[in-house]
Amino acid sequence: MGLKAHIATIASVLVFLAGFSRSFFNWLDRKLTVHVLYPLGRPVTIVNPIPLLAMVMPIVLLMAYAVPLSLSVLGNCVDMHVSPFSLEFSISWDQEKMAVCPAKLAEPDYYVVTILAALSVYFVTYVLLPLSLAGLRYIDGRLWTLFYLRGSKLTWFVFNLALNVAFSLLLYWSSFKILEASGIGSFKGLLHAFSIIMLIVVVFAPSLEEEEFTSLAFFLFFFSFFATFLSNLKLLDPFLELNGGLVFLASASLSLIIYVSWFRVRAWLEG
Amino acid sequence: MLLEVRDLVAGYGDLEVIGPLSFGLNDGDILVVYGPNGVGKSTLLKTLATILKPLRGSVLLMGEDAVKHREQIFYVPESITLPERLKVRDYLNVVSLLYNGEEIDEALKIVSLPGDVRVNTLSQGLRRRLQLASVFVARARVYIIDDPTVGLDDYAAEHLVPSILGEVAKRGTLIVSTKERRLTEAVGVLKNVKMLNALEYSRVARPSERMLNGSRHT
Repeated sequence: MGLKAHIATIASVLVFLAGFSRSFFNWLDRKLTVHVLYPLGRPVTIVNPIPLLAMVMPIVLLMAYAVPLSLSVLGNCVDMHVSPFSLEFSISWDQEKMAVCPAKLAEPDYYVVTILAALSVYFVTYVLLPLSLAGLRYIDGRLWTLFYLRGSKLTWFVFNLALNVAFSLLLYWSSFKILEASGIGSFKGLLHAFSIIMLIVVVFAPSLEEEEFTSLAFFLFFFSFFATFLSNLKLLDPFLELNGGLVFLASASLSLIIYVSWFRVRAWLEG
Repeated sequence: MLLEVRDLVAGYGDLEVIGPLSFGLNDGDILVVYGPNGVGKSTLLKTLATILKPLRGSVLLMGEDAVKHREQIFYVPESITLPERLKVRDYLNVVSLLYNGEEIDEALKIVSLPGDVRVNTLSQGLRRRLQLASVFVARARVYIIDDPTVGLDDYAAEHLVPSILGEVAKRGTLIVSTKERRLTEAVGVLKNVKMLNALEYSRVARPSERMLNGSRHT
């Protein structure tokens, strides 16, 4: 497959994306409901996963098809891994293989294909992130005064967050397995995703439609940029690559501290 | 005395917005804080609800610093912020659960709302009704409602809100703010009502506002 074929594949993906109709989004809006469960006598919320999956799966499937196809231009000398927030992790190649590759490092085809493929992988990981919106923290931001006045229990937060992460990961996993089967996913990528999900659920879930400046989403939003920045630092590559568990623990601790302090900061900012 | 306010000055940082003021409220009392926009009504109510710290003075609930008993306060803010993707019944269930509250069917009947619709399908007025309905399902000693007529149509503002406030006052102490003269008059006929003209205590109101509104302190 030549460069033109690769660009045609990407173009077909874009045309497909543009084809999302108003009726689809109306359906999405109707189905995007939040259900309240009462385990341990406390309200926790969970988002209906069907519209999230309906939104994500077509894109995941197309990427699973398009990215490996475009990489075949390079004679499969380059591997891609799903690794949110980190393009550096997502490309790997072998010196010996590269020596016999049809496209050499210095040739434009190599750069065009790897950059487009890497951007596609980068894009699909961002598309997957809405799955993390299946959050249990949804009501906290909206009913913050009630939670503030009645107190927010630490055990309740931990329980909610654990359930939230498990649910999000389940959804993420189903998408990830498709990418893995197509050869552009790896456990390494998922481990990173797991850590990032810990932050993302806390960042976005409480305020799906919250527009107030002092919402938890805005308060925490910079952490997603912080994570992006950190994961792109080459100096930290070995740390992040080898100690995914540590990243997870750091993310969880940060989430906890941020969440608990948010109520106080919100009270301070209120008005 | 259930709630006692002593020389309270409310505001933000160095900005003193309203005060000093002192008053006391017993169980079943209604305090109507009235005045035009921007004189500090919401700031005062947030401070009484312990969301803001008093700049000076104190707010005592059951003889102690109100912060120690803040779980006995139910506060409805002026802004209509609700969990959009929840159903009406689910929202009220959450409030009821947090405040060890009551059945929600009666509350839905009072404000004429269906329970099985999603919040984001409601109009602005109906959302405010939902917030007011939440007052009925919460069990607290002090209910603080910041401008209950926000977003409501004339009928609801004139007829529904006074009857709701009357019912709430039977359950505990009620503090309500308004800029609507008609609500002040409608609530004024209820028992144990105290009026507080926020303009008199405002430290940020412009002189022209004081002249236009005059003194209506009862």
